[in-house]
Amino acid sequence: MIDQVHLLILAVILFGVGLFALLGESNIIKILMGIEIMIIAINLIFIALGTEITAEGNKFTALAQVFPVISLAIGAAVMALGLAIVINNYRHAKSVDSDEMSTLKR
Amino acid sequence: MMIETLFLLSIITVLSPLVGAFISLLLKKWTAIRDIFSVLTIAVSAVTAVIIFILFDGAPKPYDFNWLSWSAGSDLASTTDQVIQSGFYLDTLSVLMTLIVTVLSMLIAFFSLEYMAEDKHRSRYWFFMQLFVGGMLLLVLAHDMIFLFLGWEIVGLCSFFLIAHHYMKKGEEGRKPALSGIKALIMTGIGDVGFLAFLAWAYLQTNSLLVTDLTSGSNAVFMSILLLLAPVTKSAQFPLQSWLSSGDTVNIDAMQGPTTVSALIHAATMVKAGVYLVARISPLWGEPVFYVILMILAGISTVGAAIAALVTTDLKRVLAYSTISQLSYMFLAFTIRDAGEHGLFAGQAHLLSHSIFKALLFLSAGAIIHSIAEERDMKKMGGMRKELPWIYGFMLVGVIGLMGIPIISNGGYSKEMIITTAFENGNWFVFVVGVLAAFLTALYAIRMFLMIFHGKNRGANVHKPKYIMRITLGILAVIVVASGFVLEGPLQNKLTGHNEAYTLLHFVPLPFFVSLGAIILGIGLSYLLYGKGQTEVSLIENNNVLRFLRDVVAHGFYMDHLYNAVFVKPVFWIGNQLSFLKTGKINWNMILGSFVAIATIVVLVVIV
Repeated sequence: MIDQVHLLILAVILFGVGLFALLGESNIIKILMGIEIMIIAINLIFIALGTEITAEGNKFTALAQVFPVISLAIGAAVMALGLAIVINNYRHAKSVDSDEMSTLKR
Repeated sequence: MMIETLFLLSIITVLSPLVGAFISLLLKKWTAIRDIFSVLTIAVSAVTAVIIFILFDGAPKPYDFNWLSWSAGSDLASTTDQVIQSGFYLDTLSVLMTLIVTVLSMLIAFFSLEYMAEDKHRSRYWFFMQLFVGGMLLLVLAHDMIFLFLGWEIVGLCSFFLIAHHYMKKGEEGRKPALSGIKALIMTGIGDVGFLAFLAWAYLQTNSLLVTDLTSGSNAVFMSILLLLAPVTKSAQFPLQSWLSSGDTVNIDAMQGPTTVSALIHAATMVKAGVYLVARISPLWGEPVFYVILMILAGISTVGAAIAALVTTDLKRVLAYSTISQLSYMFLAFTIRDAGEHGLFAGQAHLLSHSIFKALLFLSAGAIIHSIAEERDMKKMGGMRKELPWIYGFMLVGVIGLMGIPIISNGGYSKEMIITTAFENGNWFVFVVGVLAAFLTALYAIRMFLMIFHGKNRGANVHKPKYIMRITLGILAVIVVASGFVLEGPLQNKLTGHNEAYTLLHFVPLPFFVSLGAIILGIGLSYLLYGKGQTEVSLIENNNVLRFLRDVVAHGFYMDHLYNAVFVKPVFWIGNQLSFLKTGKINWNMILGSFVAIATIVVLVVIV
């Protein structure tokens, strides 16, 4: 039986994984992946808190279930933008190292 | 359904700069049209704001709509049992702020037509300029805290981009603006987190995010501390002031942006957001802890920033420190909690007058800096009253406003109001700090003025500014003098709704003469020390202890060094250690990490 609290624990662990992937990494694509994992963790918290599991039946908050879908759509757009910046920077500097693109200028 | 005129006008006021920002991006090929168009969108807001101010009758008017139906139940289409209300809220405070923001932003934008004429990245500049104004208007007019927070974030983001405007320059000249922008974004981010957490608590308590529904229930102490973070970071109060102006030797702060941006940040938007937030919640949030902490922090920053302004030799930084000092003055006024809300009104009046004279001072500084080839060091200026007679006169008006000379300037009225209110309510802390700050303000304002305009020219080539700058400065100088007369009287009656109590000057002899004496003492001392064109005081240079203290202040009280050692270095250390952990070598980190992971899993299994 999966309870609300299990989902929350999973979300916290996912957030930690994302943070671990983010910290101490200089490859910009890996950083973006870390951010994406963290966003997924937040979406999971939305789903978990929007759910109420009782003996009589499960209750769902409509908005909390719809919100992750919107969030994922926007997240996809944000990732596309981020990867576009990475590609442009790669063409310019021949590198995906975040330390070398810290100023984003010619 | 008829939409009410006021509501329609406030929608136009907010949307005009926000939409105009995106349209101005499309006009990239026609640069002249784009520049004028950008000023016009803000001008439209200014016109509507003036109409709102005239039509507004003093009674608070909420215009709300429901959205985000937060219904709980298995049926997705079930009717709403919890909704979030949003909308605009027109009361005297928001109407007044809208007027200040739009009119001053319009004048600053008009000024930057000439100031930024040779900049290569004006497209970015105009976009964020308009977005900045739009965000601030959204913040000011919002009735619910979602819109307020949205405006809060837009303002913070735009300030980041505008401070870092010159990042494309080569070498050190480009690195410092970039770092300054990042610093501003991160340090104000602390306040954003506090504010967001506060919103969650507030929603939990009252099931509503409307500002007018705010009450301090349980957990009020904890919420107060969270809420306190927001104005302290945004308005750059004591522990977190260094994003707005750091020490001379550090030189990474908001002053790295173009001077018009500094004028916009200091006069109308950004730093006023924190003051506005406190003014907005002040009648509703009665928790004494909030006001006690705020009073202590504001007291420290009033005196500390005024002393720092005495030491620095950078023209813009003197003004930046004086902004911090004056903002704390407003906070001090808000912490006088009297029944008639005189303290609240005095703070709002000082907000109005400070916005106007600080816009004048910053734009004058911009005109000076522009005419001597971007040189900001006051040690290289001097004797400019012959070359720049117009700006000499306009800046004198600004300095009079900043010092708060009674009767002839708006700063005088509002400053007297704060000191008198503190005296009448027996709030001795505010009274003493207020008088001390009035003395220090006169000291550094006259020091700055004498160092720029008097004495001999110490090696700056002057080329005179053209008409646009002069016209803008002239308008602002007139407003500085004129708004003083309406401040205590017609405006107070309109704002407080007491139409019968028309008094031009609420005159109480003791505080009036004490503060006047402090101001005269400051002017006299400053003239004695700097009147003959000195840049340094020999007393301080020859005394080891005083010189040491001077150096501490010139390093920005070592606050940046402290933050660097306490926060920045450890984060980088952790990052480096984690990076090493990912290389695959087995070391103590690896063993420690796996131990922590196993322990966490065991604890979770046992508990759950």
